[in-house]
Amino acid sequence: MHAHNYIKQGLGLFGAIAMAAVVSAAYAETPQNFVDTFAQEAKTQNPAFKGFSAKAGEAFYKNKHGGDWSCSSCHTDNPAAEGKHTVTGKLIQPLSPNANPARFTDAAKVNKWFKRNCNDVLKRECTAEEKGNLLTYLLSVKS
Amino acid sequence: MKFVSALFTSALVCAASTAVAGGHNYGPYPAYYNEECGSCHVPYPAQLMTQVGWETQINGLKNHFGTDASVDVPASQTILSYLVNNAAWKSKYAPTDPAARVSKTNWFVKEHGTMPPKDKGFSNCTQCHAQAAQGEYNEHKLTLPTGWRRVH
Repeated sequence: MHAHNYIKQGLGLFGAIAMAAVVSAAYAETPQNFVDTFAQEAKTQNPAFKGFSAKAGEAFYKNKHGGDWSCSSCHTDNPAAEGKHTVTGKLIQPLSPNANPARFTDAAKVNKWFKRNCNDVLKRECTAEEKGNLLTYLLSVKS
Repeated sequence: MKFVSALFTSALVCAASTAVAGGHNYGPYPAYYNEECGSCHVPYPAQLMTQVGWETQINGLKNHFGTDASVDVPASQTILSYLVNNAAWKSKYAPTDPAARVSKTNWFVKEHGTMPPKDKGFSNCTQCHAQAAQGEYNEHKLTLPTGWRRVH
């Protein structure tokens, strides 16, 4: 039993090192990469697109859009602060990359969470302009 | 030889302490399980529901208690096989409602009653089981909210 636990701990340590390697590799993407990608998509979706607005992003973040929740329901009014899931009470790490450098560094995660959370908040996918405004706002808040 | 004997003794102590704890430690969970099923709530122990319940949960992630909790197909297959491999088999852990809530199983209701603490849900394990995120549900470490009692 004891020896078995040592083996488990050893595997756990190995896993942690492997995960650290994966995480640092995932940091290949930066929040600015996502702003640039959303800007290109926004231009394609709307030729009149002029650029992102932190103010529009803040309004988007704090208001409801057809669903029961806004972004701020779980991420709180301050995206640089720790959030809390409104039903389960689970703590959520800060959403703003200024407070949490792991945010917006992994395309798969960014896509997964926009897909889910836009469905919850807007009952549809978010547009590139909405995503870009939001991220511009998140990058404007002080940690 | 001395070392082997020490190891043997500590193995016995370890086995005994696990028995005293009542086997209420389900962690550590695989990293992917923490990541995919531990972001919005604590990762729930696979051992606390039967296979059919976990299948209902994972097949319905697109509408998971009113929210979109969908994951991609490879992730959902990995998660489901982890849950199924560790699932309960006794009938008291079988789902009793269409949504397959762990909190509606006969085992859960017997242990916790039907009324969660005020303004909280049974989904928030950490409110009483402080180490729930790590899979530790030892009854000796419970912190019950003031005034809350189990009601059936």
